[in-house]
Order: sequence, then structure tokens, then C-alpha cells
Amino acid sequence: MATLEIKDLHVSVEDKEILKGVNLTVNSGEVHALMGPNGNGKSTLLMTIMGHPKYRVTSGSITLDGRDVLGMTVDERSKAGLFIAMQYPQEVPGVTNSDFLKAAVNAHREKPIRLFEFIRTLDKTIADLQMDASFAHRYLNEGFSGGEKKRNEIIQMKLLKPAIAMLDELDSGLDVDAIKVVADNINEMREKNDLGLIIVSHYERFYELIEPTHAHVLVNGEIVASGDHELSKKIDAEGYEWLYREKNIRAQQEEVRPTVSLGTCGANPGARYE
Amino acid sequence: MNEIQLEKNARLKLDSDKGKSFSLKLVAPERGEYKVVLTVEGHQDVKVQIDTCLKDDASLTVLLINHNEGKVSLQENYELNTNSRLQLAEVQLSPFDLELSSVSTLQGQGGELTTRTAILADCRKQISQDVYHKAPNTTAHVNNYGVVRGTGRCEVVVRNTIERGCFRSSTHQTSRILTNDKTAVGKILPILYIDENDVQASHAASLGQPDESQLFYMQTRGLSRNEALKLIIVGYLLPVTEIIDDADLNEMLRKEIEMKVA
Repeated sequence: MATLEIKDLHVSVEDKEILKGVNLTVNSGEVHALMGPNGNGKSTLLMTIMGHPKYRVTSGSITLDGRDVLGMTVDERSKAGLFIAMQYPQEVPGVTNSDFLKAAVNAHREKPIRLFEFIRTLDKTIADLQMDASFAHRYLNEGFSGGEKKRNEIIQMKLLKPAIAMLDELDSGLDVDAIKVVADNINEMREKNDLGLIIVSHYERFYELIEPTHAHVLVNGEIVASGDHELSKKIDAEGYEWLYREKNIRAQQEEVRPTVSLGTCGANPGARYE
Repeated sequence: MNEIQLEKNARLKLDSDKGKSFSLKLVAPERGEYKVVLTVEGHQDVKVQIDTCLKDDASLTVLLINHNEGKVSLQENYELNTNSRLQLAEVQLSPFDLELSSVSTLQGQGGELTTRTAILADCRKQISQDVYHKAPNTTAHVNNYGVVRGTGRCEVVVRNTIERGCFRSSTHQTSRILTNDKTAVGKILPILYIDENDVQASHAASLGQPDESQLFYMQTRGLSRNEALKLIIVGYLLPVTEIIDDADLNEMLRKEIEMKVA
């Protein structure tokens, strides 16, 4: 039984406060749907829990089974049982999935996994996610479609067996069939491993496949409403306006970054290298 | 200069303890497929010149590995005749200075050149590569991947030239250098000289420190920063093996790259 506990969490990015006192407790086996308009702090919360250096915790605490998560390095958080499936998984050219996954699995073990056992487990997990066997030998996320990247996140999750996993818009980029495959694998982990989940998604269809036990709405850096699956259903049907009126709040508008021009090409016409 | 008519598989070893300079001429006869593994070994500074001629329709794969524990000055000249095909993989991981100058001339129609160089620079490594398209329908892909560490310095200059009349030729170059320390210096000069309209040409160059987003991503899976960095560096250099269609050789190179990076 694992418990992730977030108390009065304040987080800033470049001196701008994004999270303004978040409280949340997630236990093994629970599924917490985290909703809210874009740009209001959902990804910030997940990235902060995982230890992204861009996000500065100004006050509050995060603990996992009473252990101070904020005092851990990123890899220590992973080894402690936390996992994040990223909205935009990184591409790492030259590093094969197989090499990366073996290194990650070994990082979670005292003794390195035997090669045969690793290959067998990896092959099965790839098959579970209905990916082609050649996937293991491709470079990490390089040239993957959006859907393949998201399936790869779940392959990693299944191999690392976290206690609490955070899924950041995992369903974006997945077609209808793929969402079902991914959801089946997540539900299997809930049953077998008593996995606790925080799921960020804008779409009720994902929550229909992985039914939340809890739902929260994050607006302007604060959780303004909590409930069960009925809350996410209501937001799917009616949007957020009723909540703004009820709570007398306004959502943070998503920041649109200005376009930066790099100017014209730096080539000097007619120049010759001597 | 020693002239060697290549046979199907050749292994050549140049030992700097047995000579200060070596000159070789390799000839890949017409219509054959050849593979050469050439190593430079020993403990002394050495100058090496290798002239390689690919006759019409010859296909040659060259793996050049520098193990020398001393400075190496390497001059390579490649002549590609009609419909010949050269695949060249160079592994330059030795912790000693290197001056590498190569000139590849696509002399006959249909010639194809692919090079891939892996460079680990803990010292000074200078790479200068020239590719000349002197016939129509010729193709060149030049790829350099370097990692510079400590006070190392790596300079890469690549010049691809398509001469007038060499229509439907294509020439491409990619050079990437990862600087692993603040004191490490990397320099890339990608140059294209194109004197014909009906061609394809491109250059890509990148230079910089490891991507923090990649490192974070890998750390979220339990790897320490150093473990993640090591994987990224090995991944930078390892694709040099893609050119070599030999599982044993590739495994040997993989182990060597991992050992040198560690």
C-alpha cells in the first residue's frame, strides 16, 4: 500500500507562481482524474512531483509513504515508485529501446536482470501493447508516431512497475483502438499491482475505460472542486463555465508564446571557404 | 607505395611501432564485392596515406579503426568509378591527436559514397573531408558524429562540390558534435559548392551540450544523470556500426565504444 501526499504545494516557474496551494492524497488502487483548462497547472503538478528542474517549489510538501519526495533526485523518485507518462515523450537518437529499457530495469534492481529474462519480459510487454517486435531495436521514440510514443510510455510503466503513476494526456495521439489497448494494460496493472494513478485527460472516453475513483478540477493553480467520476462526466457534458460561476473564479488564460523570427539565412552570397 | 588488389575480405594492420609512415594503394577490381578492416595500432606518432580505387561496378565496405597510442596523420583518397559503391566507417576513439584529411572523387556515373565517422575527442582532432562530384548521377552521404570531453577539441570541415554538368547528382552532409564539458571545444564548417542546377544538396550541423530534456526523461525512468549521459554518448557514436554488416565486428565495436565512454 503506497500513499502519495501533497500538502499546500506552491510552485513557481521563473518567479511566476503556477501552483498556489495544492492538496492531494493518492493511495494505491485509486484513480484520480485531474481536469482543468489548459495552462492552469496540471502538467506543472505532475512535473513537480517527478522533480523537473524548471519547477521551483516555494513551499509545501510531497511525501511518498512518509518519505520526503522533494529531497530526492529525479532517479530516486523513480526508484521510490513514481512514474510519469509524458505528454511529449523525448526522442533519443542512437539509444535503442532495448538498451534504454534494460538500463532502466537494472536501475530499479540490486542485481542486473538476466538477459534471457529481460528479452522474454520485453517481448511479452511489446506484444501486450500490440506493437511490432522490431520496436525493441528502434531508437528511443525516434520517428515514432504519436500513438507509438504513448504506447512506449506504457511499455516502460509495465516494465518498471511503479506504485503511483501519473499519465499526462496519454490519450492524445491514440486512435480509438489504441486507447482501448492502452487502457486494458493500465487496468491490468491496477488489478495485479494495485497501481495508484493520477490521470490528466480532457476526454471522458478515456475515463470511461479507466474509471476514476476520484476527480479534481485544477483552475488557476488550485484544486477548486473534487468528487468522483460523476464530476468528470458533468464537465464533459457541460464544460467548466458552471464551475466558474459557482466558485466565482476565472481560469488562467493559456499563455501564447510570441513567434520569434530568426531573420534571414546567415549565408553570405558568393562567399567561398578558404 | 604498396599496391594491394583486394580480395573478398581483407584485414590490414598498420603498426606504428614498426614504421613512422605508411603508404598503401588499395584497388577494388571491377564488379566485385569487397570488405576491408584496417586498424592502426602501436605507440608512436605515425603518418598514413591510403589511396583507394574502386573500379567500375565494384562495391567496397571499409572499416577503419584507430587504436594508435600516438598522434595519427591520416590522408585518405578515394576514387569511385562508374557504378561503384563505397561505404566507409571510421572509428576514431583513440585519446591521442588526429589529423584526418580525406578526398573522395566520384569519377564515374552512378557512383555512390556513404561515410560515417565516430569521433571521441579527449585531445585535438581535426577532420577535413572533401567530396567531388565529377560525373552525373553520383551520390554522396557524409556523416560525422563527435563527442568532445574535458579540454578536448574537435574541428570538422566538410566540403561537398558538385561540378558543372554533374546533373541528377545528390550530395548530403551531416555533422554533429556533443560537447560534454564546458572546457570542450567543437567546431563544424559545413560547405557546399554547387555548380549545377539539376541536383539535390543539403547540409546539417549541430553543436552543443547534451539535451537536458532527454536527460530528464531518462532520469524519470531511474537512470542517474551519469548513466543517462553515458547512454546518450554511446548512442551518438554507435550508429557508425550501421554501415558494417558483420555482427561480430559490430559487437566488438560496441564494447570498445562503451569501454572508451566509461
